[in-house]
Amino acid sequence: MKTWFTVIAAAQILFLGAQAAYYEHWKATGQTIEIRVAPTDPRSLFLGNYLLLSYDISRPPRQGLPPGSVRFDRLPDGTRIFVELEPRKGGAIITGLYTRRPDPPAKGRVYLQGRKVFDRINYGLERYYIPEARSEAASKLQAALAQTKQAPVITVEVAVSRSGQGMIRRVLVDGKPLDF
Amino acid sequence: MEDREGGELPAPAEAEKRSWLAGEVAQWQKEGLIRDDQARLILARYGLAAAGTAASLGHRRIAQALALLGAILVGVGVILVVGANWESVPRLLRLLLLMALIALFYASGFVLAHSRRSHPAIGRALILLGSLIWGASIFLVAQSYHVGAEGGERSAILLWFLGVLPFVYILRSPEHAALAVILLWFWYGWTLGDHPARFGTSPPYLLLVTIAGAALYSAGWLHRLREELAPVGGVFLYAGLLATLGGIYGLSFDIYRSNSYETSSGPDVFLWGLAIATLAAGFALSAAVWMVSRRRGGADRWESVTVAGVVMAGTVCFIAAATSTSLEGVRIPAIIVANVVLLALESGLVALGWHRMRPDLVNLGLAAFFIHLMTRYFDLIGTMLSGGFAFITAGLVLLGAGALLERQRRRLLETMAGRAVK
Repeated sequence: MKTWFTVIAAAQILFLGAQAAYYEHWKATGQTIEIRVAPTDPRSLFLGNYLLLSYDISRPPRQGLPPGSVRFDRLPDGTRIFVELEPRKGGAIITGLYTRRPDPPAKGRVYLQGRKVFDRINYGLERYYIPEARSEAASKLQAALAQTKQAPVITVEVAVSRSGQGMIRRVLVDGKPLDF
Repeated sequence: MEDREGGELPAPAEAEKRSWLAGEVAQWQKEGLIRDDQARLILARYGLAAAGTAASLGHRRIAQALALLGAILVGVGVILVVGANWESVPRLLRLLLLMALIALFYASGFVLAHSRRSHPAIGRALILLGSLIWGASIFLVAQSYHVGAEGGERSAILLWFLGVLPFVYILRSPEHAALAVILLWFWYGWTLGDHPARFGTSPPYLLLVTIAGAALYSAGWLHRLREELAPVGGVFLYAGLLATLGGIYGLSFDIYRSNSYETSSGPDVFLWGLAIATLAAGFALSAAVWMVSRRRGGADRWESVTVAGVVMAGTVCFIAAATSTSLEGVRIPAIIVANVVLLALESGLVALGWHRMRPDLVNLGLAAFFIHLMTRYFDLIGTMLSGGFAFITAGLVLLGAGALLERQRRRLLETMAGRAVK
């Protein structure tokens, strides 16, 4: 009993180390792409202890995609999608939608994995956690953002792994990184 | 030669006698001559089980409950403290802190509960605490990298379950069994409920919960065949029973009227896969119970037939419901059948408890019946009355039915106690 208990306990503890190492590696080596946060309602961004983010690329365009792309509205809910993105200043744009990962993308383009949920794509990048200790600073920033005459441009810098999964590296407000 | 409680057995052929006694006690339990707690006390008297007198058993249970409660409180506290100050501690340091905490709780718990055995209740609670903090750590690490949305939390719960499950068998720990069952149900319910591709109506979901409950009940039943796994089996059994009753209870409502998920494009491969896995588990485990119970006969056989019946009928209904877009045509018969089946299960549970001298089953059956009765009262009669009058009548019915049921329950338990003494 003691041996097996020790083995499982050690495996659990080492798993945490491996999990952190995996995320660290992903963050450091992932391909970088910047995507723009959809300016729907900046006041509702700061919900609870995380930012609830929605992106321009969350709703794919109905037209203008290359012939090899799938028709988004014909896909069943829950379908995994590889979204081809072209980096642009101020946020990447969608250049293709695929249900299977195609050949390596054209130079400079990136495949980001998502899933169809009703009429939008969820990338797993919809939450940016804010530490409880910084919630006051978050509220102040929220108030400041609400008072600005011109809506700020909020973008997210994403680290994309080889498999196409994204991880938020940082959030930028008018090009300045959010210090959380 | 004296055992731990002072019972005396002559040295020659002691092992043989103990083995004979263990077999006899099991037989007495099966025949309903003695209750489970009495069997434990007899076995403990000869050092065959870890239990004391009725009084010490009670004290031990209180100590266990307090230790568990303490472990849960400390666990929640640690998670909140670490979570709140997460970003103010360097990333590597906080990871090491969590790892060290888990190692500390596991090591100290194991020494107290299994190596020295000086404080088993506290030791087991510490190991449980370690498992709680381990699970929370998976979330905290993911959170610090902003990973977790889009199914990530569900995957973390599944990982937590898979990490905890080996302890159920290595330590034979009912606490870990309870944690594993909670995590598994949480993951299952969340996955079914949150998956964007959906069945056309809600009954298939409740039927899957019912069948999954029957599968878990069967797993618990099979675990209880081995003495060392009996406490773990008990947890599975109750969790399965509650899920089955809950699933059929849900089906007894008027949920067949409309197509709730018109916007959905229908189930996908993943949803069908999860459903087929549930049905397969239900069939395999209930078949195993049926095969074993054929040899044992008596109430076991009826019990296995009931479980197999729930799985088979549930599967037929599931296939019919999952492949239909509207259940309007079978609405009334489906509600009636679900209520009749629920009533039959509640009565069966009371009968099984009576036969096996198990007050817990009697209590559970009666509690389920009471909830069922009250629900139907509010559904059928409560809506006919208006405003405050409805509340007054409902309150009076609740009090009256509760008192009546409680009187019957006490009578039943007293009769059971009388049977046990005879």
